[in-house]
Amino acid sequence: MRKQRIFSNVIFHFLLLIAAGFILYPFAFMISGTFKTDLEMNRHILRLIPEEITFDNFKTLFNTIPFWKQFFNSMLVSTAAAFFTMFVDGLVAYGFTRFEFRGKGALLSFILATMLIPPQVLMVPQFQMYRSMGLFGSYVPLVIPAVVNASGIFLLCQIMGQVPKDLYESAMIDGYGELRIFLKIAVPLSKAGIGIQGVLTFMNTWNDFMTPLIYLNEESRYTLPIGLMRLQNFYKISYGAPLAGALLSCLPVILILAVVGQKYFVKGLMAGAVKG
Amino acid sequence: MNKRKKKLIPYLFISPFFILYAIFGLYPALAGVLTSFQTKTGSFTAENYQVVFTDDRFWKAISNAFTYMLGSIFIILPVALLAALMLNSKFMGKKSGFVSTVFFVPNVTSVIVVGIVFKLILRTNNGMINTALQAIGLTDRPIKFLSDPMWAIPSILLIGCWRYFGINSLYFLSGLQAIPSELGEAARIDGAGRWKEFWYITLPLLKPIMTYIVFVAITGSFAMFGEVLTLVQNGSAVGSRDSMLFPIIYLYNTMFKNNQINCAAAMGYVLAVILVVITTVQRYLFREKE
Repeated sequence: MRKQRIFSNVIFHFLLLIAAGFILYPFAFMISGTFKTDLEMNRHILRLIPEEITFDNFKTLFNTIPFWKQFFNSMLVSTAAAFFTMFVDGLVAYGFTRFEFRGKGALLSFILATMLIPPQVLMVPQFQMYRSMGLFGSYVPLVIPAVVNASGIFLLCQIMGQVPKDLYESAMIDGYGELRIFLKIAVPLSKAGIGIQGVLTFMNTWNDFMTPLIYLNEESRYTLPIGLMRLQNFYKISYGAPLAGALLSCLPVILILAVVGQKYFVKGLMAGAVKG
Repeated sequence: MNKRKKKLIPYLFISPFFILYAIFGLYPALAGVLTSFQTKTGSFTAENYQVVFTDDRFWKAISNAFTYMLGSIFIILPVALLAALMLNSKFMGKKSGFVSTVFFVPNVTSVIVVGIVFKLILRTNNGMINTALQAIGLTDRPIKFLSDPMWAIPSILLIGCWRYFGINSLYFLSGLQAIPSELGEAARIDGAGRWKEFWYITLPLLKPIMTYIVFVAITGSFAMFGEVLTLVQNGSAVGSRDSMLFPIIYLYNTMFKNNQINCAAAMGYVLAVILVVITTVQRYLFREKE
């Protein structure tokens, strides 16, 4: 029995190592490629530690596209999306968890139903609408889909539902209005969950590829993914510069994951999914 | 505050979602129906739908998405479940925080980053996999992962596996952790083996989370866009002989490259109906049996 346990323990760690290696290898590959010359990339693609470390790829990157400008654009759009989402989804979740009212069940099912069809199939009419509103080329089409997001509302409903109802009642007796109860009680008590929703929205918007591809038409307004795609098309043979750009564009997300607290964050994310 | 006003308050709080959805979701969804039944000059016609239904490339895109969907359900998800079962075992201990972060990271990596990196990993000449295969002598001729039609879907599945296997095993893991351990113990006392325990206790209890995971896999397969676009961007064919043509890419090209807005609108609705049919069948298969 004991021998068998040691055996399965070894097998288990071995398989886990393979899985982690499979997931982490492309990142190692990207980091190594960033500091490799193109010559070495072509001749020794398997070599992870470059023989000759070069920083030329960064130079090419910064000389070819307005990288930091686009980095800033991405930062702006993602932060705006995160804040609007936290605010709107918070209000809606408060409405659903705080009160009993007519049509509540039906309205919740309606929100759930909006998840059934991926928004991409409405690409054409949505494009026509934004264009007729004069919003083509602006950041509005990039922010709106993040805010009107059913799964965010469900995550926050679940978290706000845990606020004890007595607190609301006593605040009401103290003469608080609903908006004040929302801001002073509901939000502070569920700020961890709201924060997770904000972080998730930030990441999704930061990585969004299709919407900016459709709606942005000026290089100075591009977000990072579109800038990098242009760079990739520009350089058919060289790979160092796109890899350097890719590496830099990953940093904010990885930094957030490290800071927000990994365990806590992933757990919160799962909580939303199980319910949905 | 009078009573009437008080009754309105809940609706005020939830109204932002419904107002925004009415303007930016519902309105275009309805207005687009009109577009899909119009010619370029504005007169009414059903021809756009006829064009879509008889378009071989459209059905090629649907069949590619369907193949990829089967691949992700029957290859990526079982692997993810296996990993989750391992993570849930008693050997895991305190490593779970680190492991879940590692498993989560590919899911929050931008699709363009995935494209840049995997293009180098999969390319034919001096690609990472081909170089490795040749170095250990498995093949002497490089495999054309990105240009051989036979390898197109498997290559994208590899990328899909890298991106989504981790997050799916975390979903499975959260489902597993919700199962009370007494159930398994009771089964073992009754003499059930490991396999029986898995088949009759674990799997049925995972159904709710599995319904969600499979649903996401289905819609994700049909919404495939960035991965392919960053891998192959040569002219109108997507992959050789359209082997990497996916519905949303075809829709995008019809709209922005060929400028056939009305056809593209019709295509969007056909796609929506196909998806509703598939996900309804899925929910029927996953229903709770009495």
